[in-house]
Amino acid sequence: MSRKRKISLILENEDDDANIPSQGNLGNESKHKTEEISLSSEKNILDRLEQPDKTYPASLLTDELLLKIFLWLPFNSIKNCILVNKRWNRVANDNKIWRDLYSSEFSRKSIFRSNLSLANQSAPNNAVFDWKKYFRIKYNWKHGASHIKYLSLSQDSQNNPNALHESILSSELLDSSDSDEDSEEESEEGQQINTTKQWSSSSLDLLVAARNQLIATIDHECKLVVKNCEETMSVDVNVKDYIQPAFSELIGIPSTLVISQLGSFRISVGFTTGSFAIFSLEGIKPGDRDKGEPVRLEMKHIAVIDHTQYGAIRNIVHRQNIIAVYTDKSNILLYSIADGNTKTVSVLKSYIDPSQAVSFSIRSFHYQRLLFCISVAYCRLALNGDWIPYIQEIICAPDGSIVNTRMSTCSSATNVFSTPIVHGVLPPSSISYNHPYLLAGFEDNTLSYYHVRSAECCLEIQPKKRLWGHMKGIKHVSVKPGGVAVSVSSGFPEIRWWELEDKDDSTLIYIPHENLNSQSTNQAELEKLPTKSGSQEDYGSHTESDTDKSQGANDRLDQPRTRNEIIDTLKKDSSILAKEQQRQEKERRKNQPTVHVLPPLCQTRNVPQEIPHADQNLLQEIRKRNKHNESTYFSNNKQTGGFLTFDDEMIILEVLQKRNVSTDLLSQDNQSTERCLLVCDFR
Amino acid sequence: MVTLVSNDNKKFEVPKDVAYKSVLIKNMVEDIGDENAEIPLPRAQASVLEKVIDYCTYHKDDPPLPAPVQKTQDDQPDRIRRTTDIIEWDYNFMNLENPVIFEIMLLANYLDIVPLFELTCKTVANKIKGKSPEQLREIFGIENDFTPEQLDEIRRENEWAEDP
Repeated sequence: MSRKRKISLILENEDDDANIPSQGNLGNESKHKTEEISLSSEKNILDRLEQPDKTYPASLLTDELLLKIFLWLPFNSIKNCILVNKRWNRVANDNKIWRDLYSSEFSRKSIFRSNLSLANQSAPNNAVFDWKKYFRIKYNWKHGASHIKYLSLSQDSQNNPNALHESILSSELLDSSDSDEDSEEESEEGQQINTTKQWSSSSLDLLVAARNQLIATIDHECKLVVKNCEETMSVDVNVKDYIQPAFSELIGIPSTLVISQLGSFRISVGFTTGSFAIFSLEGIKPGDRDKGEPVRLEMKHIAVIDHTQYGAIRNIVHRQNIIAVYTDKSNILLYSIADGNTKTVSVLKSYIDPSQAVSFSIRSFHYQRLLFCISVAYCRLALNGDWIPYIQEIICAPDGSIVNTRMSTCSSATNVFSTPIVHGVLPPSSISYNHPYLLAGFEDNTLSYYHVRSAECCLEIQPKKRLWGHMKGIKHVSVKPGGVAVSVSSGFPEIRWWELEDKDDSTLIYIPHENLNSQSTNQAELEKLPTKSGSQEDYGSHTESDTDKSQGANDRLDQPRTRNEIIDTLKKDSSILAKEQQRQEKERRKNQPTVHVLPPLCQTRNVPQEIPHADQNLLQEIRKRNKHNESTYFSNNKQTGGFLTFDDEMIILEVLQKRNVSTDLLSQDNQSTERCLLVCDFR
Repeated sequence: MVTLVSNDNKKFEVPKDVAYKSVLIKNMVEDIGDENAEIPLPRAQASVLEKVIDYCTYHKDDPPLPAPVQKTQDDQPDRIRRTTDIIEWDYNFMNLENPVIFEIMLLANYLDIVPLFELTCKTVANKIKGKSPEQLREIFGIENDFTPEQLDEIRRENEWAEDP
């Protein structure tokens, strides 16, 4: 109080401004004073505003200060600020704001940091890392909003190879009434000149892999095509061109295709005979483009081997000079490719049921960078009817020699999951291990999430969570670094996106109805679709409203109740299913007693082996074998139909045969078919 | 006591701990080395400076702000930004017309009084929150300098942000 009086006294003494009157009443002095001053100051500012360059109060602020204000705003406000005027638009689009929004909206320090390092990596030479773009992608993932695209895979030049068949069906716009209308139109006005799309299940004579917007395909003829999603780049090679004609029979047909990113993109192809080839995609770095280097596929390594006795290659991983393959007969073969020669280092035989889902991966061993760790994750049935995960690690030196192998499992997870085990006796349909996350998807609509600890002295699997949300049996699951996973249900393409580090909430990704007409599902399932999809949408909107509510802190109370309700219904569903499964299993067991032994992978042979010579007898034999393989092999891959892969920006769902039927009377017979990839694009 | 002189030559005598809320004044006084020297503030208007002094007086005993977690990287986002943690006195203090708030913000920025600057930012941010673009233009007296086509284009570009 005394200070205030002092100031006012000074003001009274030295102020010649008539706007501030002197106060006689000491009791009210300070209060009055403030009011007077604020009034006068407003007047002053209003006077200043009359000047031509100060047309509105907000222009008092520099862009810098406006930015500082915007940094305090949540996303919901920023998106309105963008529309106010040019200046606000410019400031609200500042990279700094979106970077802040990214970290606050999706606040997970670990992920943020990993993205920071990503930002530093992908933005060398002071190039700007577009945070708004990443915010947008993440936001779309979170809300399950994606564009459905059809990427043409047709390779015939007359079939308009580079046209991108994209029908953007903004998922939220497509409700059931839309598709109903469409079908009515079709039936009532069949003569109308329009082009309708029909889908039939593709013969899947194509292997597809994708990573970071690159899509690679390989067909029977070993023609490898790599293109990006924008279709601005496309390169192709034929693997057989790299093989002497005498050997070309030896290679068989492709059985697996993998894209990995080790500095540059590597495309690995595995064949039915156990042969493999690795290509590197060159010329796609920004610097290369400036230098005028063409985009091309460079052959890094090729090995033509007859290892048919071990089965066709199911998965192939590599690091530096080591290549490891996992075969259909559950063998693991290690090759060393030093000096351009392929040497079989070791052959490991496992007793994992070949029909079972297995996750095969390689990584640098974190405590000893020179060593590599090849992991195999799979599940086995415990006596209590629960499927428990196993992980086996093969630790090898840079030359491919095995340093150590070890394996681990966990006890039954019933207690930890705190829900009844309803897996029944069906094996997991899919398993995905990306250190330290291990996810297994089951037919009972749930996923099991385990956390793996792998240190120098120990290898442990800890059961973490049961993941609920799917309405049908899980068909595929895939987890990426950072604990981001995508799972797909069978029959109905219900896709869920999980953030394992965050909470056990998942996002349902909407697939418009039109795409359900792909006849890859069998007839019975198709008939069920309308009702099923109805309930699906309901559930989707449920979660959606939940997340909306969680944004308003006041409504938070509502959330657990609805969520629990959902879980309850799901549990009910699952338990019915489980009972049914148990009944089926009982019947099966009557006929077929099963003994469960848990043998570890053991090293059976250590045979450095030379590539066999191509003599005529061998070739004929292989020809015979290949013929047999050919019919069965690609059809086996049908298992992967429905979900292929996903990366940061999109999910690649399946290969479809798209039939463009023109109902134009003049060209009624004109039907063209082409292979397409069904892609959910989150950009 | 530190004497502050505004641009219209008014003198404000304030205790040291109040004046030192401003990093600028603190540095100036220390540079001059005379705690009783007059500090000219040519960018400070008397009426606004008065408000700022009010704020500093009330907050003179506040502990200094916790240092941002990582100051090494300038644009490392620091703590979670909340605009709701405004104490009642501050709230009443900020119950002013927009132009005055902006003036205080400018001065707080100039004088480097971080808590006051943040308070003004929060206050303005709270005014922006939950408002439509039209409302924002009205509140802040901003003219819409977009053509309808431009506005449509921006809407389209940011379509993804609308609630699905």
